[in-house]
Amino acid sequence: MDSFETSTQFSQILRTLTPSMQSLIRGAHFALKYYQSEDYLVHTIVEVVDDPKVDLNTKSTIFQFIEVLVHESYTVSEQPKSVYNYPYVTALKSLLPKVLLQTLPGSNCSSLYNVYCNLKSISKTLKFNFEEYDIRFNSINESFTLEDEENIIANVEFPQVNEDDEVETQEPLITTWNLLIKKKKQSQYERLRLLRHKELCSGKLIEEDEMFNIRLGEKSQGGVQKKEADPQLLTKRQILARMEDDRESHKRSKEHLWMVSRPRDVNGVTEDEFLTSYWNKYKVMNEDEEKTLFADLEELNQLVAMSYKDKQF
Amino acid sequence: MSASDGPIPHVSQSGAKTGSQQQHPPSSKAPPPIVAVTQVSRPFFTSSELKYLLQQTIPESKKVLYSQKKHQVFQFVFQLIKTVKFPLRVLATTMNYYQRYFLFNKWEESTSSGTNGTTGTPTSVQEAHELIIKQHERDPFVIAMSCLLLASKNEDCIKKLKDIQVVGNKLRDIDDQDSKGLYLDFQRKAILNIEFKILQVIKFDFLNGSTMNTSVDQLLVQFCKKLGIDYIHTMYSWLVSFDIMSTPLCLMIPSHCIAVAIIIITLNVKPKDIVHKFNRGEQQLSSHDLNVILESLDCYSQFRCPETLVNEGIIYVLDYYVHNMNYSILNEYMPAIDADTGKEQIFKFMDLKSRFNDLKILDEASCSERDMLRQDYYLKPWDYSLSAKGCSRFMLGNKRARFELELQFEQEYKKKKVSEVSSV
Repeated sequence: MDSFETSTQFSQILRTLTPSMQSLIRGAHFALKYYQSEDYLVHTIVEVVDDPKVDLNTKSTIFQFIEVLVHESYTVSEQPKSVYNYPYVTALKSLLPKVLLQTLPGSNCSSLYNVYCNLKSISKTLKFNFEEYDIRFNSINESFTLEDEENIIANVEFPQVNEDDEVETQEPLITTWNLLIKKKKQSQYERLRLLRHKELCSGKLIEEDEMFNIRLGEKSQGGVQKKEADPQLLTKRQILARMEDDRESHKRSKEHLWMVSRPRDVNGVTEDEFLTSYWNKYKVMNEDEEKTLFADLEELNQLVAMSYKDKQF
Repeated sequence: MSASDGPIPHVSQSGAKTGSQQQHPPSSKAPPPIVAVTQVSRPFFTSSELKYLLQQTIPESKKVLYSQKKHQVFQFVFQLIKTVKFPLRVLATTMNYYQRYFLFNKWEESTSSGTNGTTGTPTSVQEAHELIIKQHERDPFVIAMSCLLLASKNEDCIKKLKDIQVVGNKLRDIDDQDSKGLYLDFQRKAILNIEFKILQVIKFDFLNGSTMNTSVDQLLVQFCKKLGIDYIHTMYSWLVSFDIMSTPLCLMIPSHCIAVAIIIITLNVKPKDIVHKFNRGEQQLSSHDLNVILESLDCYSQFRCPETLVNEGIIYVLDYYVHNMNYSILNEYMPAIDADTGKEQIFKFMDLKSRFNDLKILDEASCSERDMLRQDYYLKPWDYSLSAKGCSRFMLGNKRARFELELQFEQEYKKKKVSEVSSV
């Protein structure tokens, strides 16, 4: 297969990518198989991501795909006597800021959390220390300045996040993290702005179609559209598909968390399990944790009291 | 308002008063199914209630057999969760469901691996299949797998049912590989049928006294850490909690009370020379230290545990070891002779039990007499066909207020209808 054919096929794979692990891995293996056409295939990724016809869900999936591809590339290259020499890794790394902005275009941050998870995982694979960025990402509220608050009150839109604002020479992963943090701030900012300036909808029933109708913009009373449809927003079908995909990927992410490995040769319960799954796992509860637990237990106590016929306590 | 009145008899549209058992006769003019029975979840029972329920489902002569089988089932489920790497809380919930199931369903010995036990001769292929499924449904191990399936879902450890089946059958040396996969298919149907029954037995109450973060073993370690109890004594408590997992104590009191009861026993027993290999360097608490912790322990203010329930737990656990010490996992971790008393370990529990004789335990004034128990709708055998018709509704005790509002609406609606009719 020549390079042109490979990239056509690859483009097709990317456009029909689904967030199931199977589909992602299949795509990654295709890319690895034709690692000699790396330049062409990376260009294909850029093309697909830039294509306005490709919907946002697919772009978010492509971000996931990059995570999987980087991971796979590492795995195959680290095997003894491997013919691979970390293909795609450098190229994809420098591509990240661009893909991130395409996945989170304008003020639409619906894929924010997915991108965050993928970026964390990519950083882990590349052994990049992202702790500082992670903390900043998760404490975004502290980064609001007085000026931001004034802008929210004045109903000013958050300034567009651009790649050009970042220092060019720095490591692309740092740029990506910085962009992501800005995006998170933007999403939080827009949320606060929305809460402040839009009325809460209460008391009236909303038709299902209207509820999902974020793309078509507001309709005036006569049914004539006020605003042009915004292609950056999701349609009802896309929202539903996305809910399903996210549910699936969330389920997958939790699949192995609970696993407990126990020694095979022992019949009963072992001290090893006590040490690793209990003694080392639980710390003394802090005040907040204790408060939550007590609230739960008090509610449980009410249920318990109702369970018996006689008053027990 | 008490939750003890079980299903609320509720007047249906056809005017017939439907109790817990009555069903709507099928007729062409039948109104769409409406809620005829409401069951408010009552997850905890006193010991008299448990005894009464078990009398209905397990004949006196088979009691020993039932407990033997239960022990086997516990071992079976434990091996199963080891293979699929589930955490212990899944085992605990499975045993909770398993024991709860037999409060409301008859216990029969037959196993699905044998061919005998069929009644009558099937006349069609479909009937024959149904018979096989029914046979599976009577098998305690199949019931256990069904409990495990539901427990794993409730504890958020998802595995495919087929994986559970394959591992379970392998543990029991059952050859489930026929050419058409029929065995697994029938077994699967039986497991799902039972699952639906268990859901009704637990009244769709997924708190079940143990929400996600409140399984006995987890809470116990957290509580021990809070009290500053050292590694070795926490481990002792944890071993006790493992032993107690296979008992019906979880049907009597909630998990946080069980945890505190176990801690109090540990602090009283003050065990020495527990076999362990880790944390050997750690300074162990002296008897005096343990006494100080015990003196300052307050069930309610520190752990939100009503004292009566904790006392019930203490007596139960002591009783368990007095009778079952030799079969317990604790026994494997303790020297045969206690260094302090120079006697076997079991004497410590006996001694404690006599000391704790006058503890205030659960009040059973309203359920000590058989007649009173007989009047309790909640304890009657449950008719599963009712739910299949969509005529029953389940709810948690604290959500009942919502239902009362609904009843009020309905009454107002009826009044309105009546006045409309009379004005015409």
